[in-house]
Amino acid sequence: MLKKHWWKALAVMLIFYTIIGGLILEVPRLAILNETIRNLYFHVPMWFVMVITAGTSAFYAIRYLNKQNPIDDTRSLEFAKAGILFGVLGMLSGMLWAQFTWGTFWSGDPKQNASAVAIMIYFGYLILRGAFTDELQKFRVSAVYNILAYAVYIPLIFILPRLSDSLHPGNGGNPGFNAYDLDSKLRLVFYPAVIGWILVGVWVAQLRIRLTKAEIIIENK
Amino acid sequence: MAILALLVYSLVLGNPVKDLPLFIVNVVLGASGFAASLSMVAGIASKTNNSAALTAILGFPVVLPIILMSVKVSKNAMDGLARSTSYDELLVILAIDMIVITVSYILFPYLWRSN
Repeated sequence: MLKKHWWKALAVMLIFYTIIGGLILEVPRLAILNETIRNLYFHVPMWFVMVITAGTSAFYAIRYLNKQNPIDDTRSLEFAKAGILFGVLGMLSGMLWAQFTWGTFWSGDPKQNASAVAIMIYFGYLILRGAFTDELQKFRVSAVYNILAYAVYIPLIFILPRLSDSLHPGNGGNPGFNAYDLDSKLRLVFYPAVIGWILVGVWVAQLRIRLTKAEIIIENK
Repeated sequence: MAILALLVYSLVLGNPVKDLPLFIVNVVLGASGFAASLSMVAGIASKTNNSAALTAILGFPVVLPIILMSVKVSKNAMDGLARSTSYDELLVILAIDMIVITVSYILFPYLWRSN
């Protein structure tokens, strides 16, 4: 039991560490940002989770097209849903952060717009799934759309905002990661936070997949 | 078709574009990107019961990056700015075009199979 579920315990511990450490440990004093820099541990990892869950979703979509196994479609759907959840959370936490640093919840920043479009693409995925009557066709076509969506999503999130001036740190050519303000004290919490949130994202998706599996078994009884 | 539209418009309304070659390259790249992604999305939507509405819903976010980039390059071309300012955007449009065309080319057989 412990062998199989160690990563869930790890996720819980990392998230607790993020919350407690993120709120108590010392952070660098920066102008404007002040204490809101702590949001780094919550806002930024959300996008890591969305990229990874959306990628996993696209991976299972490809596997579905190869093997025609309905469970891969369920996996693809639930990972996409988890991606949407974390995308929305990332956007909300980003908006809160923007309110206290940039002055408004929504300032039409290129990254804000791009992420809103990205979330729209994935909402389109859910709408598309609702428009089918034939199950097999639904699985196949939504897998196709999912792969296309991921192929558009990656340049939308990573390349497009870098080309235009943004309020986000590290824009204008250099990635936001090695930006001046991510010093070693922040890294101490930031990296565990990223891993912890990713594990939580996978956990959410996995719970939903198991739920669907259980429903299928009950239906077949 | 986009080139044709460009010709007609410049005939009727006059041509304010200062850097025509750049503009034409941009038009061609943007139009092929539109064609590729909208065909793919229309193909996806045609498999559903309510295809007309779904094409619009699914297509808009997919073409939005191309629209944004082309608008920027067109503006540069119209104002006759130095070409080096538009290379980044052109490269991105080209990259998105190639990604969408490649992905569509691979995925289309799966989409169109009757079962």
